[in-house]
Amino acid sequence: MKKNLHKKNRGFTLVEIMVSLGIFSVAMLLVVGGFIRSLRTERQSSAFTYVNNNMSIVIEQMAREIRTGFNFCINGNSCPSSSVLSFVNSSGNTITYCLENGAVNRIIGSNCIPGQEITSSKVSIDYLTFIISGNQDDDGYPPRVTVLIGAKPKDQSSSMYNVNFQTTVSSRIIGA
Amino acid sequence: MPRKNKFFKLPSLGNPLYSRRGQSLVEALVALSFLTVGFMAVFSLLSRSLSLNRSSTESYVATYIAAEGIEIARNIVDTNGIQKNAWSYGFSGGSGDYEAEYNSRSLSPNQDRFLTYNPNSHIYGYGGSIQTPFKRLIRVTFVSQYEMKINSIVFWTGLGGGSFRVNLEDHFMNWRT
Repeated sequence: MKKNLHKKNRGFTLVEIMVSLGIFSVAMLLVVGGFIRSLRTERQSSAFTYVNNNMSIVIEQMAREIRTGFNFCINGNSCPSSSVLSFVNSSGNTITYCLENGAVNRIIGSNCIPGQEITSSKVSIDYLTFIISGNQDDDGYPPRVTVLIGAKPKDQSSSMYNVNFQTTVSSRIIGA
Repeated sequence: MPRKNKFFKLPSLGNPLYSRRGQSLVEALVALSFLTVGFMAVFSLLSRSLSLNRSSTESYVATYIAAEGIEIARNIVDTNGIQKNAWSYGFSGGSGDYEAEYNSRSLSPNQDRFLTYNPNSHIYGYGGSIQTPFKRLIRVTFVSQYEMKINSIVFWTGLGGGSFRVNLEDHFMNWRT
């Protein structure tokens, strides 16, 4: 009688438990690993989106202001290096764009001092270069400013991703 | 006969209510494979979002390179205004496909070449050491004697192999004379 009962309700043996736990832990490892990877992917892709959005807004803002600007790096607007651009905007204010502490700064005035940062602290700017031509009063050419800017996410895990932008703006204020 | 247990009833083959067999291996495998397919879908969605992000970055870069083409053409037209040249001087090749660099003073015939990137000067042009996926074409169309249409078209092949293009258009008029 007792033997019959025992046979019907044997429970697990140690080996069975170990095998099932092993399978379970392998499956969980795969799932958790995939989950962590997907979290990292998600973080990277949002970091890239930050870079794209920041670059878009900063290039657009600079291009719009340069397009209606004049006196690029002349007449008291000194540009001590190629990463500084000083000019007079359409409202007659002297504006300086320059790279300061890894961010693009917009300064009202002609010196590159820490001013209004127009890029996010989540984005690190590698370089900002302005190539200016036709900015002299009597050189016979309209001002042409080429903006080169490179950026990457500040987050180290996705910093291998960097992107290089270039655009050229021809000022509509051609003097002459 | 076994004594009735009040706390847990033992399964007996005779009673259909208690003849639950548990899962078979096949059932477990099917369930696991559904789970796996679900996770794969989520994961591939994420990696696809990453590659789409890269693709959108290329579109951003291409848009600004295309805008540069329009601005170069505008700059040449404005130069003609300052130097009192004919308004379409420098476009004397007439309607056609041209190329130019950021510092070009005139358009040159299109050679269908890839733009390059110079890692030292960071310039996109034609003399750099790194080939980019982008090709820029400046298409000039004289609509009439007094109007020209400029299309700055950037072509590229994305990472996934798809071909993309950005086509910006501007019209310049002979309004100075």
